[in-house]
Amino acid sequence: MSELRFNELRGEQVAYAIHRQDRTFLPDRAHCPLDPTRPGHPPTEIPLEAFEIVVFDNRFPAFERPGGAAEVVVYTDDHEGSLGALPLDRVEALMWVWRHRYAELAAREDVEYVYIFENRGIEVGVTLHHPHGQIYGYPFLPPVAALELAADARLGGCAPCALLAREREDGRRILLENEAVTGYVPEAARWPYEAHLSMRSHRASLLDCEPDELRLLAEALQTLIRGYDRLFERPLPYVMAVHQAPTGAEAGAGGHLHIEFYPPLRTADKLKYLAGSEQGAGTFISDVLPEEAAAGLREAIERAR
Amino acid sequence: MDRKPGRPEEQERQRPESASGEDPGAPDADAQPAPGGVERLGPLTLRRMRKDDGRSLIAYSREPPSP
Repeated sequence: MSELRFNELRGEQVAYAIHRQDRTFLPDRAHCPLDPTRPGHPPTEIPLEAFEIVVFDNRFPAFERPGGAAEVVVYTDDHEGSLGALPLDRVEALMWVWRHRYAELAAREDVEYVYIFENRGIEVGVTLHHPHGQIYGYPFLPPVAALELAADARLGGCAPCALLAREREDGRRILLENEAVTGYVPEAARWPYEAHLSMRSHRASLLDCEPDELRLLAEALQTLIRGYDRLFERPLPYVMAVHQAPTGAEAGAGGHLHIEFYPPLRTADKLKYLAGSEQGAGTFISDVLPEEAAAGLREAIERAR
Repeated sequence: MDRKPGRPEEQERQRPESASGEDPGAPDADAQPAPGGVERLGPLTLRRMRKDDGRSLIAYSREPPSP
């Protein structure tokens, strides 16, 4: 069981999950725990010979009942590949799975915030290469979600709606757009190639999306990831963060479905480190202007089409 | 605020079933029971299982085409 302690200086919770020290770390190809269980082979985490998408409770949870949830979302039974390389209908199915998990976790009294995410690449600490994401059900409202609610208050309404309107009016940092989703590099991006996919209409969460919007979100997601992989002609590591409305005491206070990507690279082979200014002072210093990043990403997206 | 997100009619069905912490396998509002022990979820079907150590596992798949 994890232990929460409140860091008074930062005003934030820290979770201690010491059992996670023993979690599976970069196993060899023959021992991937997210592969299907093949006849005659040792069982994996998934007792099925084949599957499309599977969600299960994390064996090494950062949060668990009655203090939250930690789930693993396996996108495919194919060990190779990535979210960007899957068929579109599989990614569309994943949107429904995310929506379902959001609904079920949101209904739990021990979950205040449902956070869907993916860590891709060893540069961001991935421990299993099999295409998968994770879901945390936090038993408290985490700081980033709280900051987004504060931004709503500061801007006098839905902040992501206001920022999207600004970006569309400016136009220089727009990456892609379909009937439901706009992708852009934020005016004040913290990471060199940070990008956001935002629902064009106000949608607090996946629960508010129509089926067509889920398909269009899947399409935009793949377009961006495929572009990312063409940017430096290598699979781009990233953290993908799905932001939605809080589900607990702050439910109904705000939230706008958008997906943020934080790739840690600033060039094909150089990492952006979180160093003195970022860690000690909380101020990001970036080597790439968002307008230049957007131009490069637009070109990469075109090459990927 | 103490309202959970989602459509109001969904919440009435969701909260009593899963709030106790005793029944993580309870169906949610999106998922509807279907013949054969599976639930329907939009274009998907889902099947709930328990792993040997008690952890839950849900397998999602696209619905088979209608005959």
